[in-house]
Amino acid sequence: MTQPEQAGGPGASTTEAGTAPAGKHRALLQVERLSKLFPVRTSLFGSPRLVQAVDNVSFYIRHAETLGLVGESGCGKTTLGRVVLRLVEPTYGRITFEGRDLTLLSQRQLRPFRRQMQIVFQDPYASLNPRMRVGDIVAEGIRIHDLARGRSGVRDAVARTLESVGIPADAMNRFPHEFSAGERQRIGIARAVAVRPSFLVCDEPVSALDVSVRAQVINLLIDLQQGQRMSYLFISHDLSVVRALCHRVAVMYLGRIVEMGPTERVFAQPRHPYTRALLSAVPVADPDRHRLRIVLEGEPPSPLDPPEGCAFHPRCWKNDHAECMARIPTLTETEPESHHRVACWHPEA
Amino acid sequence: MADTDRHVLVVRNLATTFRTERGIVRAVDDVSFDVPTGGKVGLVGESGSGKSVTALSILRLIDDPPCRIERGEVLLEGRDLMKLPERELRRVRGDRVAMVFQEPMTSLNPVMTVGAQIVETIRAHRNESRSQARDRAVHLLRRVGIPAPETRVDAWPHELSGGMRQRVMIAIALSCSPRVLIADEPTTALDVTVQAQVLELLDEVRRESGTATLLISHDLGVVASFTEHVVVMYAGRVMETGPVRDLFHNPGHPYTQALIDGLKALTRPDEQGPFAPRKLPSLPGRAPDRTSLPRGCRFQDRCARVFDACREQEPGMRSIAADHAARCWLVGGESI
Repeated sequence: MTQPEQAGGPGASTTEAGTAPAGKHRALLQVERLSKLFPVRTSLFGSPRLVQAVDNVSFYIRHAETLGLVGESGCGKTTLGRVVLRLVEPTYGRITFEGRDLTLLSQRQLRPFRRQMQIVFQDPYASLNPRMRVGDIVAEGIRIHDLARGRSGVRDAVARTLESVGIPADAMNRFPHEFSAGERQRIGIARAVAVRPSFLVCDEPVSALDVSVRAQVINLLIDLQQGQRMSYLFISHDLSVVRALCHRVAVMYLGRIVEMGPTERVFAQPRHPYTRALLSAVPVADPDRHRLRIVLEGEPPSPLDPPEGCAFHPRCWKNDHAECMARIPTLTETEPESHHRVACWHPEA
Repeated sequence: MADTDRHVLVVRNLATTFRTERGIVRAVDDVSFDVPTGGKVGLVGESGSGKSVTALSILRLIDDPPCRIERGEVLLEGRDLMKLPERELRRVRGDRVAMVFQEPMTSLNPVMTVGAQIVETIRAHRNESRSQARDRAVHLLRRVGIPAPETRVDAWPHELSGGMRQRVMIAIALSCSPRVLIADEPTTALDVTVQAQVLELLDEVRRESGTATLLISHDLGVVASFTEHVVVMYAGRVMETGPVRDLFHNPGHPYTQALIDGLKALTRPDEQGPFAPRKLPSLPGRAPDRTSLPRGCRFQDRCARVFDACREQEPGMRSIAADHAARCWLVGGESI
C-alpha cells in the first residue's frame, strides 16, 4: 500500500488534519489515521485480496458540531461511520472520544461509551424491528443502560423521547408498519436519542424520504442538536442537504478524504477538482440559471483495483502531471488557520 | 389542446384504481397532459402521488386485478392505446414508445448477455437477421457511451456498474427509435456525477433523434434542469401544469410553491458569511390517506392558505396563462 507523504506524526501539529484547535473548541471526537481493510475473495481458489475501504482518514468533531461526510456509493463513507463507533473494528488508527482511545478498550469497557455514541440508519423500513412495538424499540436502550427506574419510569422516558421527536406518546403501543417513512425515521431518531448520547452518526437519514418530509427531519435534527448539544457525523451523498445542516464538510473519494473545511468555504471555493465536479452536478433550483456543469468522465474506480497515485486522476481534467499518477497527495491546509484542507497536487484556484 | 399533430402523446382523463383490503384507492385520478412531438415533459410528485402508475397505465403494464384502468384515453400518434387489442399493443411497446425504469439492477435479465437483450428487442419488432441486429446492438451501445462496445455486447449485467446498466437500459429503449421515451426515475439509483451523465445522454438522444421524453421524478430540481414543461402530481391528481419557467416564477398552487421553496432553501445560492444551521421551510403533516380522502381539495390539511371553499369542494384546473393551470381556488382564471 503506498503511503502518502505525511507532514508529521499523528497529532504532531495543529495543521495536521485530525487535530482540533485547543481551548474552548476542544474536540469531542478525534480520529487519527484510521484505516479499514476488508478481505475479499475474488475467485473460488486462491487467497483473498485486501480492499482498503477506509484509507488513512483523520478528522475531528467539536461539541455541538456537525461534520458532513460526502461521497458517492462505494467511497467508504458508511464503513467509516461504523468504524468510528467500533461497530466494525478498525484495522489501524486511533479513535479518541472524550479523551479516551476507544480502539484500546475491550467490548465491556466500551459499553458506557456505547450509550454516548448512537447511530441513525438510512432505511426507516429495514432498521426498525417489525415485531417490536414502538415503545419497546425506544425503551430497549433505556433499559440496557439503566436510565430510568421501574416500568413507569421507563414509560415516562419513552413518552418524553417520542414527544421530543414529534411523535405522540400513544404511538408506543403500535407497530412500525403503521407509520409513514418520515414517522419511522423519527422513531429511529427517538431510539438513538433515548439514551441521551453526545454523538450521533447519521447515515443518510433523509435519503429515503420525500422532499417535504426531508425538511421536517432535518429541522428535527437541528432542534435536537441545539437542545441537547449533540455532535453529528452526517453521512450523505446529497450536497444540498449537507449545506443546510453541517458546520464543516469532508469529501471522500475511494476511501480517502480529499477535501475538508468549513461548509461556507468548501461550497464557495472548492479546491479539489472532484469537489468542484460534485457541486456542479447538483441540479439548480432556478431554470434560468444554467450553471456550467462539469460532467465527469467514467465512474468511481473499484477499490479492488485502485489507480496508482491520486485515486481521482483517471477522471480528472488536470491529470497530465507526473506526480498525479505517481504519488498520493496529502491532505494539507490551503491557507494557514483556514481549516480548509485539500489533497490535490494541483488544486483549483 | 389535444391536437395530435403537435403532440405525440396525449393523455386524457386517465383513471386507475387499486383494490386493497382497506378499500379502493384512486391511484391516478382524472389525469390529463400532453407531450409535444420531440419535446421534454417532467412529471413530478412524491412517493404515492401516482406518477409511476400513470406511466405504467399509459403502456397498460399494470396487473388487473388488483389494479384497473377505469377510463381515459392515451393517444400515441393519434391512436388510442386503451382501445388496442393486446397483440397490437405489444407491437407498440418497445417500438413506438419505450420505457426506462428506476432500478437498473433488477430491470435487466440477469441470465442474458446485454447484447442478447438488445437483439431480442430489435428482432421482436423488426425483420432483421441475428447478425444485423447484433451489429445494431454494438452501434447502440456505442451511442449510449459504453466503452469498448464490441466486447461489452457479450457482457453479463452483473459485470456492469449501475451507471453502465442504466445506459444499457437506454440502449434497449432506443433500439427501435421510439417516438416517446418514458423514463421513470432513471437517475434516482445513481450517484450524482453519474446522474448528470445519464441526464445529458437522455437529452442528447432527444435532440438527435427527435424522441419525445417523459421524465418522471420526485426531484423538482432534476425536472427543472431537464424539461421544458412540468406536470405536478399530488395524491393521484394533477395539481399544476405549465412551462417550467412560468411554474418557477409564478407557481399557482401552494403545493408547487412549497416544493420550490424547499428546493431554493437547499441550494442557498449566494449566501455569505460563516455557516449556522438554518431550519428549512417544511410542509406539515403527510399526504392524505387514499382510502378515505377528505371532501374538497386533497392538499387542504397541509396548505398554509386554506379557506372555507377548499374544504367544501375540490377545485378544477384553473387557467393562469397560456398552457399554465393549477387546481386551486386561489387561482383567478376560468376552470378548464
